[in-house]
Amino acid sequence: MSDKSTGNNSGADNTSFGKNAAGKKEMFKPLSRRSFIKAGALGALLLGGTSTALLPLRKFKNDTSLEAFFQQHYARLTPERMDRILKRIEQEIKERHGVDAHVKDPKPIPGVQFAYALNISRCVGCRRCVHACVEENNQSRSPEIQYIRVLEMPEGTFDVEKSDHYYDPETVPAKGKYYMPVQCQQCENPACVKACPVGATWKDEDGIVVIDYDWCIGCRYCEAACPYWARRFNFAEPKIPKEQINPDMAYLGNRIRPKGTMEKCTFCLGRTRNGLLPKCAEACPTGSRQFGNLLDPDSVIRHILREKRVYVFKEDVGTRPKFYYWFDK
Amino acid sequence: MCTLSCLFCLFASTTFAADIERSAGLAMKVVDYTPVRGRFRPLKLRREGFFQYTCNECHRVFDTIEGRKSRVAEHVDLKLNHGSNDNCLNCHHKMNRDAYVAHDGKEIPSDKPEELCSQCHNMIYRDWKVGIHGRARGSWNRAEEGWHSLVCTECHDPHDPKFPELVPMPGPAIPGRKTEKEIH
Repeated sequence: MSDKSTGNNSGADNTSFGKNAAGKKEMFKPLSRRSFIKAGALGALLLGGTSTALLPLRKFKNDTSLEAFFQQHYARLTPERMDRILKRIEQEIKERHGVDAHVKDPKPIPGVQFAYALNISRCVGCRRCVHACVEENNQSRSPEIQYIRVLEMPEGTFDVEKSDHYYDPETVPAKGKYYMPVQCQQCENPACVKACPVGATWKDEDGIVVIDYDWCIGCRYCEAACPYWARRFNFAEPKIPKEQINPDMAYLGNRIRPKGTMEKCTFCLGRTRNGLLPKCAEACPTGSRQFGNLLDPDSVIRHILREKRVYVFKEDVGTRPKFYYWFDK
Repeated sequence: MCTLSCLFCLFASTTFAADIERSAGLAMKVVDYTPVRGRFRPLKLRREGFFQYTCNECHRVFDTIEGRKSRVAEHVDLKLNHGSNDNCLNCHHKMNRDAYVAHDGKEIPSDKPEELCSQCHNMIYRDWKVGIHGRARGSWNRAEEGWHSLVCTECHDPHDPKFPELVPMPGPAIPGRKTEKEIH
């Protein structure tokens, strides 16, 4: 019985082996024309598809160096690496815009907190500041980006809902109106910084809220979070006429921003950290814009805070701006 | 963009000019948008050219008639538009025409017009002294070199001190209404 069974078993094994052998034979049978063409077409399709899918990568390689791709967050950069990055940015600007720019990375001055004061009873709304800012900070001319919005407000109200920033009279100031320029308020408690999911924007030691344009992912959460509508987004590659590009650039400040990043007023940190005034303050023909160090008891800012009637814009949102509006007439 | 630059040129050529005489070095980058007012003329020299003379050289002989409104001789091109302050001798000294006059009759040297103006515009004088009246210029750091304030008559024409109304620069592009300026 057992022999039989073993015999049977072995017979079954044999047959199964035989079947396997037959299957293998089928597999290795010479290619037919049809299957060759099939396999070839499939292969070509796969290869073509993959190469098309990877095409942006090849373009990317022309655009961005490997170093730029692996660039670290601003806070983690060593001075040597920073130097290399600045050189690379200069080179990129040369290639893209044909301008010999000097990109620097000015650091905050210890013992300095910048603050701004604007006299709304003196401002006439001539928009000199807006255009001086555009020129200084290499903002895109098309699509148009402007950091400063000058609100024309009817006299007798502080309600910005009643304001208009597209005003266009023959001469300013228009009768029965006053003007309130709004730009980044460099908040002590900035909502935009809290909103950033990647830490690409932060408040520096001198109180200026800055953006690492290379770290920004362009999600625009900060734009939505800002109660002052102070942040701007580069929807397209910035377009600036070559002769209008300001070659003195700062890494966190006025260098030409890449497409898809946020930007905003930085109190012209490339200038102010070197002792100069922000361009808007310098351009103002009426002298309504004053700028200074909040920690220096003799500064103009401290004098205005001591002596004048000062208010901050949207105090109720709790951002504690360092941009003070005052009036004295 | 073209219209913008054209407008800008127009401003530059007619009402605006760079005032960089006094601000060399650091402030060379300063673009001065202040409308040009009467040049800062020290009282000493009334006219430039071959003949230069001081006010006193004439006024030693010619006295000013009190309350006279018409302008004669060197003053024909002068337009007085200073509100109720419409008498020459309110500001100019009666005996020494090369100086200003204080309320108590004392002389104020001609290179210190701010002392004269401060007699009426005392609030503004107080602001000016700490540097919050007038255009900010130079550096934000008062300890640093390059900061200086201009005296009253360097911006204001003392005979016509009010600035004219300005033409506003173009506003932002209105989405959907005004097309953005094209750049080629």
